[in-house]
Amino acid sequence: MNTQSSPIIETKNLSFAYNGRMVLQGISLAIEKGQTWSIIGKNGAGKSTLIKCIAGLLPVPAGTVLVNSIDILRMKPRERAKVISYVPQAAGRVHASYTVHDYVMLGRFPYQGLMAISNENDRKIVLDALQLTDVAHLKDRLMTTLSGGELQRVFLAGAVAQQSEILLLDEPATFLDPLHQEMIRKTLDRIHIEFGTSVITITHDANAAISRFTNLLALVDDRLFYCGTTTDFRQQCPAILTDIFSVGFEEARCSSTGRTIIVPGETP
Amino acid sequence: MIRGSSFFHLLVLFFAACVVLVTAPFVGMDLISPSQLFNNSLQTTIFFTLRVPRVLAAFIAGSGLALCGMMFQAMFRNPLADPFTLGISSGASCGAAITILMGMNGALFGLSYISIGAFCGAALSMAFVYALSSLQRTASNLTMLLSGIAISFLFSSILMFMQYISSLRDSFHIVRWLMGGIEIFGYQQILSMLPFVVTGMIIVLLKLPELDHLLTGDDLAKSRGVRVGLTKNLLLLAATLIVGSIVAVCGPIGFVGLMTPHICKMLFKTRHTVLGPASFLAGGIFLVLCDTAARVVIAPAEMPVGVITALFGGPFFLWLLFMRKAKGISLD
Repeated sequence: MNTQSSPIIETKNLSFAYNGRMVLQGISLAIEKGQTWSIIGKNGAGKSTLIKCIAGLLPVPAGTVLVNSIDILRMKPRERAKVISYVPQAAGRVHASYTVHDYVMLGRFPYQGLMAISNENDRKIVLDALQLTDVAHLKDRLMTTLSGGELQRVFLAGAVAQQSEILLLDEPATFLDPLHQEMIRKTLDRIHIEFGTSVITITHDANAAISRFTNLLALVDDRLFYCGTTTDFRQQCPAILTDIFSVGFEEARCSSTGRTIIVPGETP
Repeated sequence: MIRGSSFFHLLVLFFAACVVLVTAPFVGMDLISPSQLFNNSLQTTIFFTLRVPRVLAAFIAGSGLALCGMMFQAMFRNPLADPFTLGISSGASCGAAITILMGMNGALFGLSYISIGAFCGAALSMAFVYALSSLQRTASNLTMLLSGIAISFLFSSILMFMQYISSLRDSFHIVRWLMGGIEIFGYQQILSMLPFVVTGMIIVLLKLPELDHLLTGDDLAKSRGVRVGLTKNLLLLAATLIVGSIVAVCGPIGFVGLMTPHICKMLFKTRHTVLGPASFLAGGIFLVLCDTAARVVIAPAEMPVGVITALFGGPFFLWLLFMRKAKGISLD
């Protein structure tokens, strides 16, 4: 990779407060194109706020967020949407009986003009997105009739249809069973490989965080605790996980596959 | 995007609207046959100076209220939101009651003082909602709905107080106004509300795609490039124009704004580019039918249309509610 190129996302001394209570303090990080990041941390550590700030959804009172060297808050909404897509945590709540196809089409909004009239190109991109996320067979189903795993993949399809360089996800797999969690991860891998999308995911799955992403970011008490490659992070496991989560972690070697996994253990 | 069956259904609704609009003026206390239209009889006068403007007013009011109801339900992500739960109708009623109590008769630019009072009241309560949404950026949709209900109660108790202290005659006048009615006296009243209603409707129709996004959540909408704050403010402005002018002329007509969008959501998929025109047409048809019934049911006397809307609409809506279960259609 060209080392001269500027990072795709750069935050400088980013801080954020809700009603006077600090939830993020002095976050400076740089994310290069082509990397995949997991964000870990305890509940309330500021993970969701961080990705909302990066997505330009919250006004940043202190510090800056640069996307492709442009201040995120100065970008026009549609231009920003072409660069960054976001799948919120509460996306699981669907308020209306959209068909899957119509719902995914909503992701094309930044490319459409007045009245959001879709053209042949939009329809093709939506079909591709449905196929990539394995939900093409559900295309005419109503959103209200889908299971949790299907819904989450449709949300991903919506983000894929948005064709952004950066994809931010807030716990996309947390409430799913192991099979559907794995399907979501595979889908994210596919999105990353197919389009070179920089995928940034909040997760509570420590094993996935240290094995499925190139980089890792950990927040402890509103501050950046770790920001670097997953390989380096693994060297410090499991001790560093204990520092992050305040819960003991142990490494366990699977006797049949020889794979090392991390399991919560005795609390120190 | 309008495709296949949705387009067909919209076309059916459109023709239904045309049929209703053309036939409704012939029906009333006594039927007018088409042959009487051009023979300069009393019927000709009744047809053109009383019934046609009245049917037009009913259609405009029904379509406007339905469109606003649909818009509020999407914007507040709440199936119970409509011009009335947000306190707009009680604001308007309060304004109208004040002018009745003060004995202000007469008219200004074709609008009676009662209408002007109602418009001001509607605008005032809308301004509360508007201020809350723009001053308190983090105000949740639930907060706005709750504040709407609080405003509604506030105005209702002021209204009750005024009724309590007013004379029997004024009190009856107020009660009658509260029941809603389309006793239009001519084209002047339609013309006086039309500019406001049309401006508001154009704004809503242009923002239909954004409604889909607002319904999926403010954060998601924003991440898709929707100017959430601006869109909401524009829509609230449109609602004030539409509801204010309709309530000013026709009084607070319930049910149409809340239920017509739900009926359309059961018949169509929730895509607002389809749901918008559908609610517009269905609301218009519904109110014209109700107003026609109001003229016929106890003829030669007339019933307030507000009584009819829920009387006929309620059972129909409940029937749909029972029928929809198997289809997995959500109400929101």
